[in-house]
Amino acid sequence: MILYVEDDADNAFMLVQRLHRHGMAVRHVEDGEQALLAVARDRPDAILLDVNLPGADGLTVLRRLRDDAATRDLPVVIVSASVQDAALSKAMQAGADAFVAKPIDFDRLLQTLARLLADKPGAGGDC
Amino acid sequence: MAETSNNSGHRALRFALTLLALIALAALITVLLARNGQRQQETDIQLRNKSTIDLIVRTLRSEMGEVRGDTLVLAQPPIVTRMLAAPDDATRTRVDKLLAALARIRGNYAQVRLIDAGGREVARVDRSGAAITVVPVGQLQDKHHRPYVEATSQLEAGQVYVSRLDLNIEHGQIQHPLLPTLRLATPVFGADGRRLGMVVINLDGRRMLASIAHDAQLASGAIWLVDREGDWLVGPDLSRDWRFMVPGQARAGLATDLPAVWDAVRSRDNGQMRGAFGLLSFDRVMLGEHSDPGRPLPQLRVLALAPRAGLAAILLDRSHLLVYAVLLPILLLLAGWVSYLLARLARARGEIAGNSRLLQDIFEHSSLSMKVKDLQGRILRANGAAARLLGRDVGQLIGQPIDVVATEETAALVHAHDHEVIEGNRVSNYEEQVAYLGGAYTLLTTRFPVTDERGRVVGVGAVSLDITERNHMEEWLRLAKNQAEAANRAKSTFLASMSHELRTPLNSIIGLGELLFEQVEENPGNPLSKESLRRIVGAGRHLLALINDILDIAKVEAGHIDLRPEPLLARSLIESVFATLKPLAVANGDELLLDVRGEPGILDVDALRMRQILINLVGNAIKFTRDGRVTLRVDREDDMLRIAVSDTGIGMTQEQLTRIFEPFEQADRSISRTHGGSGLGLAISRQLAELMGGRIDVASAPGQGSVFTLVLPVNTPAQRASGPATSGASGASSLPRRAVALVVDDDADARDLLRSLLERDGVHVITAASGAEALVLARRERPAVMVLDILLGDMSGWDVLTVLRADPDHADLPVILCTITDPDHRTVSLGVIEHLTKPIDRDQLKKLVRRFVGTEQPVEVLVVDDDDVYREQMALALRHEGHRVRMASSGELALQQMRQQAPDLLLLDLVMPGIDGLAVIATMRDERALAEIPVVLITAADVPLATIEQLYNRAILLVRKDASDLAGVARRVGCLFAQLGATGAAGRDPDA
Repeated sequence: MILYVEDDADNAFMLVQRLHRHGMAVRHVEDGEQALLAVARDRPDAILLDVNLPGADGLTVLRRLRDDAATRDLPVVIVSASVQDAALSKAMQAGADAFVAKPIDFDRLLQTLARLLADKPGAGGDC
Repeated sequence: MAETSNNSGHRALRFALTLLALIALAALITVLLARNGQRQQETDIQLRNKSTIDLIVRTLRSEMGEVRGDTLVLAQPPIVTRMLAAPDDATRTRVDKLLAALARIRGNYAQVRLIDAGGREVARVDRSGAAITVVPVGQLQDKHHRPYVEATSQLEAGQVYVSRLDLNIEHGQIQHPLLPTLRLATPVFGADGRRLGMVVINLDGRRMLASIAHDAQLASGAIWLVDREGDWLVGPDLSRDWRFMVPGQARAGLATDLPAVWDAVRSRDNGQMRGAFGLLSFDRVMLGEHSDPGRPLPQLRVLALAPRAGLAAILLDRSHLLVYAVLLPILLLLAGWVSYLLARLARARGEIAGNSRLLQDIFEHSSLSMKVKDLQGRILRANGAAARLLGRDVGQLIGQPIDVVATEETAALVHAHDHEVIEGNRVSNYEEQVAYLGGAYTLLTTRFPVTDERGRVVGVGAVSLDITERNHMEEWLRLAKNQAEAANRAKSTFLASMSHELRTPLNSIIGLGELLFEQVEENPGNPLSKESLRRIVGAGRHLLALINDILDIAKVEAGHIDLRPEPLLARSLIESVFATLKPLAVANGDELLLDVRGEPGILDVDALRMRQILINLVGNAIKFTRDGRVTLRVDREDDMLRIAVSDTGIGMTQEQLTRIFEPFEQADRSISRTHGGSGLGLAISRQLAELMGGRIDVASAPGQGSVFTLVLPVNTPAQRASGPATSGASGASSLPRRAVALVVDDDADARDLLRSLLERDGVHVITAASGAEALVLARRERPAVMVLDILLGDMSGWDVLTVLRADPDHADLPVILCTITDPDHRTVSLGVIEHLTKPIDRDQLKKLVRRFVGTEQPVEVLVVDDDDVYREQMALALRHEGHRVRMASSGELALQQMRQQAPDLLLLDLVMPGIDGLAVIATMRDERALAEIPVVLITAADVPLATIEQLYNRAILLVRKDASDLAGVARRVGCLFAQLGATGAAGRDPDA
């Protein structure tokens, strides 16, 4: 299951639809707090994390995840419309596994997710 | 120089004047001293001379007294009386003895005699030298006519006649040697009172005169003796003495010779005086009370006349020489020193005056306000600048406190500051806001205590700099800077947030568009809705490109672009651009021509950015040209590479030309609607070209088309490939050959013919016009085949071949030789693959070249992409180019298809769900049947191609996934196939 943290309803609607079409289970939440709750409750396989969120922003959420031993290795893909080098490097420093710019190159996102999920220890095996 | 000589002149003059003044002073002092000395000396002389004269006078008087006494005594004895009254022999004898004894005793009596009343001598003794002679009676004379006898006859008893001093006369002649004589006589009376006669003594004056002469030695100057009339007895000139005695000669004496002296002397008895004549001392001696009748009483005058000692004489006195010798150098030194001191004084005075003037000038003309105030705050001095600030004339300010020209607040402030400085007795700086009559100012004021010569503070000085303007300026600059920074920040923030805000909805639009497209594809309904969706997605992508361009130019303008230059073959880059845009040109009905003149060489540039510029320039040319021609002309000019893109399009006016490089400017605003594009491309391109050290020029006219020229500096091709390689460089032979044909012909027409012939067949062609160029290109470009004309300008084709074969790197280069003659034995030894005789059989040439270079021979292509739209479009384009196409929508399906039947070429999307492109390649690597299939990887992402090649151990071509480029890729498939086939062959293990 993939957790998608996104405050823009249109973006969320679009990406959830597309991921569903590709057979992926996606859960969408709208802000950082909900995201952290969902991570604890649903134990997603990966997170797609927008940066610009109400309340705790994406990078704050990311840092909290990295600080927690239980979620330290959870694959996190930053999905952001802020594409400056600075934004990218901040995300990487905060511990993101990948960075996907909006508008999303959907193929690339799939590829990235595939790679991350494949690398995830214990996740693959019978593929 | 003039200044210096003038100075030294002044110095010499000053020295001379000082010296003269000192000498004059010294002379005056000397003269005064000398005069004093002279006076002293004169006094001495006079004293001495007076003493001498006194002595002489005393001697004379004493002698006269003695003679007189003798005369009187001799008149007394009875024997004398008897002798005169009644002479007898006995008496005579006794009288003679008496007279002789007297004469003997006295020594200076020339004669002693007795004369009777009748005037006859009765007894007489003469003295001649030491001898005393008693004159015999017979020789006695009658003397009654003599004046002294007559005079004496008149005298009473006790009276003595004294004659004047004159010369003795014997027998009417002056006796010689001269005998000055003085006669004294006294009458002799008998007991009865009867006059009996007289006693007469002739005094020999020589002894007296000798005595005077002796005493005269005591005197300074001359001692003279004159008688009552002033006639010389003893005078300056011996010959003039006694002149009065000589009949017939003029008299000589003081009156005649020294009348001035005579005038001074005659009326007085004695005295001393100085006069022009000298120093005079004189006295007189009365010889007696009775003398010759009718004549004045005889007297003698004694004079001492010393010449006045001249000053000159005193000054030139030899004893002074030493003094002068010492004095003169001292005077010189003194004069030097004094003149030096004077000079220093003058200079110091000049400096002080100069400094004072300078300070005054500074004070007056300084633009700084300067004031001096006393302890009560009254203005003592103020300069013009201060007056301007204060708003009153200097004259009105003097003596006034600052309060009269300042606001209360300012006055209080100024007083407080003044007070601080006076109390603290130290210099302080203040920045003050003041308001005077002259205006409100911000002043930077330095205050300092003013002290008197004893160091007491007597006032305060203030020097103020008006920094009002500067503060305004600083304030303004600070604001401007802040504004600029804020604007810059705002711009960056704006760009970032705009980008962000645009991207977010765009994400939905594109994403949902793609989603719908996928759904419509699965359930085909209205074909129009599919096209609409395609356009939505296309518009979204265009918008995205626009945003990327805007960010790009913002980056360039902010200098945030980092170029990553790397050595790059200009030709290959240009050709790749050419190939990329060819489909667009075709779609526009344009002819796209590439004209490379000479060898463009190697560039050291950022390939991505260079490509961006060229795509922009050529793309623009195509966009604005419909059914025309776009030519890409490349030539080298020394160190510059010139790439001119000319078109036959609409062209631009001069006014448009000035704007086209501005962001968002297009020649016509309607153009973006008709032709698309962000309007940022040229702006970006020009900035990039300049970043690369080059430039973009443009020339155009409406209707005449345009020429955009990119000029870039070129690295001089280091002779990388020139000269035969050594045998040690055998590793080089493994380098892959490029899928191009090198056409070598010195005839341009033949060359162009061959080029167009081969290019029409899809063969990539490079050309060389000479043997040398052919060798260079063969080494650098590594063509797959060479078409060589045997008749070249600079060397024969044989020579080219010989050189080529000597290089192991090119020993195996396939060569097709074109000649007008039949082949000879050399074709074999030089490894000529084929020999063609002109006129060339075109089909045969094409067939030969195709053996080595990929052509547009129909190729079976497997297109693998999960994007149905893209896959379909690509298939369409490929079929249009005449290729056979198969499709697969996933990696699994592709592998299945390939295992059934291997395609000639695999067009593989990198990103796919399930087994993606890389997984497909990896699988193919492990399957022998699939290992040789050339792969062209299609991707939207920046993929490190080298890494992929390394990972999967095979040559792969990378094509960017770009909707607009589909046709281009399709057109290039033939080339790509050939290219990969050739490289694949080169890299293939023979055993495999």
